[in-house]
Amino acid sequence: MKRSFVQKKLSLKLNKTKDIHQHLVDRCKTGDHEAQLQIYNLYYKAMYNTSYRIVNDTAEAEDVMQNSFLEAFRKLPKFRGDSTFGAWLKRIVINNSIDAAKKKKPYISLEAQPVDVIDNQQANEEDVEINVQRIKQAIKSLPDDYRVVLTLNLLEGYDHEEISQILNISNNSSRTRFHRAKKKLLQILEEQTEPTVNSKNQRP
Amino acid sequence: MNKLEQYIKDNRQHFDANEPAEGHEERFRHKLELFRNDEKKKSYSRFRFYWRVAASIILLIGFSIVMVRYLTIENGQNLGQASYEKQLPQELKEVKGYYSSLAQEKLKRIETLTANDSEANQVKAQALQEVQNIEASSEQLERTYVKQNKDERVYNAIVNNYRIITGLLDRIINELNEESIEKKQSMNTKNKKDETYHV
Repeated sequence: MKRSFVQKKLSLKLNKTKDIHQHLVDRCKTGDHEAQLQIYNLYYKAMYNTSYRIVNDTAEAEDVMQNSFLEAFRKLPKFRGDSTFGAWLKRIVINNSIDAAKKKKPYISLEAQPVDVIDNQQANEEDVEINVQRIKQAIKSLPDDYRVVLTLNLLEGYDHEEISQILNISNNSSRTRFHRAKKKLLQILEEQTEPTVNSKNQRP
Repeated sequence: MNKLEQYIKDNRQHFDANEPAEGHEERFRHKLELFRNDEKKKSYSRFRFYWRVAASIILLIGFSIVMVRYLTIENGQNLGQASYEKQLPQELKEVKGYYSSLAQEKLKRIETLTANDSEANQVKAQALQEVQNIEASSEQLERTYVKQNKDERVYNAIVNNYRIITGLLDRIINELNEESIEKKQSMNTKNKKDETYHV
């Protein structure tokens, strides 16, 4: 459901007072070494996974994640608390991961994708066997531009307006990419399902 | 919301299960140490730079005021000051003229080196106060020279004062030049690092 402008503002205000690690963030602002390590230990895993889903490389994801922490510590005096520290940090990680992915391999434009293959092979969602490992594996094998939009929406919780700002694309492009990415994901999952159909809807 | 989206939403926490390679915390501690040292260096370098800018502004404004007064006297616009200047002996006028033109060249150089520095404005107020002190002291010395019937020791003190100020200006120019070279080198190193990082 789309949130109204007032709801968003209200949510930002609430976040401003609800940051459970505010005391650590304040200590980080003074350059407290211990607090910086504590913040790292609290957030590294989530940030690593976010970066990994974008850059698709373990070593690079670690590098981007750690450098993003340092960037956050450097920029901390400018952090106004409009969002939670975690959300702010995640945005830095995402931006740096996108930059790293772009430098490694510029995105293939959607127009260059074999759209007919994707559109003509619609997988029936009910027949597809899903579990966390399968989905993660399928996401990993998606083309870069599909994977990024899909994970930003489904896993990081950004709406298409926010994704369009992050990726500097139009709102429509974000929606189109997302729908095609989802179709492609189901198609991969269906292909994975065919050899083993005995453990349907397995929980993680 | 369809099946896939609902499933991902219900199991969101399991999608963040990957761990970075072993030893990541140690690697981060090392990076953090380098980061802290780098921040300390930057902060010291900024302090040194602003100190130099402050010193150059003090001298710049001081000499500008002295020069303006000198020129207005030459044009006969400030009669009170002009009568004082007229009392100055020829040898003192020549020394003043020589060092003023020397200082002017150096000030132009400093102006070029400190151009477009917004932070410099913050120290202007302090600088003006310092300038007034320098001015008062300089005039006092010249009046003493006239009063004490051209005492050679006072004359030497005035000349020595000019030499010290010229030397100071040279030092500021050198330091500003070094700062500019350091900045360029640091930018080059950073660019090279970025290139290496992304290879």
